Amino acid sequence: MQKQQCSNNLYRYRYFPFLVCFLISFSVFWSTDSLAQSNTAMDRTIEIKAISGLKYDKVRLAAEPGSTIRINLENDDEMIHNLLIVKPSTRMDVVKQAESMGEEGAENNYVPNSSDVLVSTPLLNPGEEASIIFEVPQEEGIYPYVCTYPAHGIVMYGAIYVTNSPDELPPIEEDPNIPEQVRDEMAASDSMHPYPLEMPTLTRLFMPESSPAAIAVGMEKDQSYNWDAGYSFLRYAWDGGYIDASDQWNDKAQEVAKVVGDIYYRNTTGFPFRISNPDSIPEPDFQGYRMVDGYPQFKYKMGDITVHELILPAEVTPGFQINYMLENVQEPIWYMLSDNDNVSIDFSEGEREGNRIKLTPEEAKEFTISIVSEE
Amino acid sequence: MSLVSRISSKAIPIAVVLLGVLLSSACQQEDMEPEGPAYSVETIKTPEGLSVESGGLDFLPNGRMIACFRRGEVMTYNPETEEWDLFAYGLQDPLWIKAVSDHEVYVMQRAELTRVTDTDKDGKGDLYETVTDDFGMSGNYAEFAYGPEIDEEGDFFISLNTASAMADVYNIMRGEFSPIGRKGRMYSAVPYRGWVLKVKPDGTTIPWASGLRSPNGLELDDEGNLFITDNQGDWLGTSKLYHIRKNHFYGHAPSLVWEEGFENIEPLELPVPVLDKMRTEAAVQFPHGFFVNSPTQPLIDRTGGKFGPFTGQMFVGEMNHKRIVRVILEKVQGVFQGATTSFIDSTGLNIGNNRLSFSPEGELWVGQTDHGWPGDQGIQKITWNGSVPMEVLNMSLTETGFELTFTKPVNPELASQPENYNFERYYYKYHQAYGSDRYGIKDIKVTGAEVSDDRKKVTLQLEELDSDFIYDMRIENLESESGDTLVHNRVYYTINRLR
Repeated sequence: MQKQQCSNNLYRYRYFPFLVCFLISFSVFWSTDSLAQSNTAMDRTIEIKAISGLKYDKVRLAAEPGSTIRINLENDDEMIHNLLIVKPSTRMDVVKQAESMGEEGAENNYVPNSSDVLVSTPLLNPGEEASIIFEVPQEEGIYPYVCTYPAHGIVMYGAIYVTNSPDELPPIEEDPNIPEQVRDEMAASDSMHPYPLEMPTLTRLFMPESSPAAIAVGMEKDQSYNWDAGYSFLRYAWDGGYIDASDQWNDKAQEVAKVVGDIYYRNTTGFPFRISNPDSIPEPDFQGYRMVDGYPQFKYKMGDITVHELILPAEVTPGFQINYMLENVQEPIWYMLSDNDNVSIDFSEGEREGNRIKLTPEEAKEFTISIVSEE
Repeated sequence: MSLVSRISSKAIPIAVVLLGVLLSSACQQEDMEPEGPAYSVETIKTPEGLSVESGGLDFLPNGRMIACFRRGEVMTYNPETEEWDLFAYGLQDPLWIKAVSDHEVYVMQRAELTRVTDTDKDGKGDLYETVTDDFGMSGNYAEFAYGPEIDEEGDFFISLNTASAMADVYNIMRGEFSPIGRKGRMYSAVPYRGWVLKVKPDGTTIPWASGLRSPNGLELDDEGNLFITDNQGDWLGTSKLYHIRKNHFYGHAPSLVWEEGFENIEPLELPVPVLDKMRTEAAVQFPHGFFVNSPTQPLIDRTGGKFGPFTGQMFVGEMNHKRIVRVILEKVQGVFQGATTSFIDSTGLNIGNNRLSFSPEGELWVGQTDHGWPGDQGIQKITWNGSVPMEVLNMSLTETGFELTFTKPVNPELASQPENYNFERYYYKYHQAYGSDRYGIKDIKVTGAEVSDDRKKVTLQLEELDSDFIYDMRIENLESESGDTLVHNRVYYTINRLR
């Protein structure tokens, strides 16, 4: 029992082979395609397994119109399964017909008498195998394959893309022609979490060039930034991805996370605010954040002033904008600008004084700083 | 956010407590003793994609379990539907969770103690408020943070792990850096590493006690006494359970660098006898290796009997054995001390037993982790089936020996034979080195064993009783009236004070 538990744990981390498996079969299939000499020769053999959880181990294949492929189905599950290849958009019809076969269903392998069914295996008991030959139609299209054993067909299926453009398939995690559960698992396998990683998101972990109290925020439009909760200011922003936390979340956490993409902006001034005097640096006190449409709105204090800071992707990217709301400002404040090459800075309120912006108490109540890469 | 994940799952009963299982488990490793048919262990199925490095476990008033995991997820689990839901995410290596309502939990992250609130009641936390971050972070991977336990006034107690000499500090740190504190095997280079802090609800943070190394577990008893476990290593000859009091120092030297009045003192240069005199000894010591390697969370059984005969006693998780231990405390001369023994070994339990929580039904849920160390990942629950195991329920020091109370009446003929009780005593040395051998090992003769009229108690006379020793008792040939043998026959009593 102990062993079984361990292997379950391992399995959770290993959805990649699933994907790799698909890619390998896919690419081999296509690379040998050009070697096909005639229609009578078998262009390719594909191995598919029925596995636990009402799934096929491969959920998407591509085939050249007019070719011939052999599919070997192995039932690696503890339940009975079959596999039918059906005409485009007829999967649910065929599934319903199979379910209405009643007592005759099992005798007929749950294969309904329908012109929508192109080819089928018999019902396979656990451990059994069967082969079918699929004469791939000339018409391009998405041909589902499905298990029609009662109650299986709703979730146990896959798709054969009959296409001359195998490179133009949608991303597998967004493909509506494969089961949702498998799509989620595919997406989750990259996320390192039990859910797909969607932007915006945030992760508190060790980041480079930061205090250990870093917050990595991933925004829409492939924009990300590191906000240092140890010092209450944005450290840097990058374009083209989010983070790779795999090394940090492996072992004991000796490694910092990696930035995925290119850093185009760095804070060179530290905490940006000055109160009443352009030379006095207040000491911020981090208070936390509130989620606003998935984005963290940070809150911190500097003396009696409370700052709310919400960072969003700019309209033009690479770039971002910081929306500030300050409470209880009694005196002028200054906002120090960082020195970055190839970055343009815009501000909604205040007056520029060299490398800083001066704001009246009224202006400081709500203002926006926009920072856009010019590269 | 559409990060909702609802994953239906089924618990896998992995311990069917049949005689056959017990017989076969008896052939396994030394630490896998059968505990009789009173308890069974089930593994909870967890969602695909979740790295089940359990950092914290608690129950919401609505009966759902809530747990936090290393990669920052906080998830709830409905034991009835076996569905998991995401409550919060993105937290930094959270290692404790405390639910105060269905919509509000406290989570200890590496960087801060955070209150996470679901203000719009949609099942997802949307407000993350920093309760305190008034302690340093050097970036060293071992700087974990634990707690809170919350006392009657609503004050929080948290504890901070020291850093490991196996890794350095970052260029950018949070808090003052002390080059002196950087010295040592486990070190305290930034404020309050190796300390317990008391935090007021308004965030005021008070350094409370020092001298801890790896305080991965806190518990408050009903009188407000705070107990914390610590892990064998430098300055700790063996693992311990401390009774934590304000301004006390518990022996791990580097944290003294943050003690008032120690500004110009190098703690590691202080003579060991000086430090020894300063320190407060543990309430209970856990003999190292064969019993405990790495104790985790202590948890008092407040189930009122739903979990068996041990109400009021304390369970403590253990990382390296398939074991939960039990602690029996008493006060002698005003000081806590007492006994510890195995509660459960094997029976399907994993190693890596990091977090404990009682469900409203009185099941003991166990969150496991490895986090790069020896351990396991997963969540299991231990259920009592209503039958009483034959165990040493209580062990109390007398003027001349110990009084043992059993869970069931004993066979008086066997129980009254002094040679059925074997005592060995020893101590672990206090020094800077890592761990300690056992010293002063000596067999102590039992000169008398008297069975009470109700046959539940046995009073032992020992030839010699001294403080500052562990009395390691092994009972042989003892049976209950109905012939049950003891499930666990070895109990370790730490004597700090004599009666």
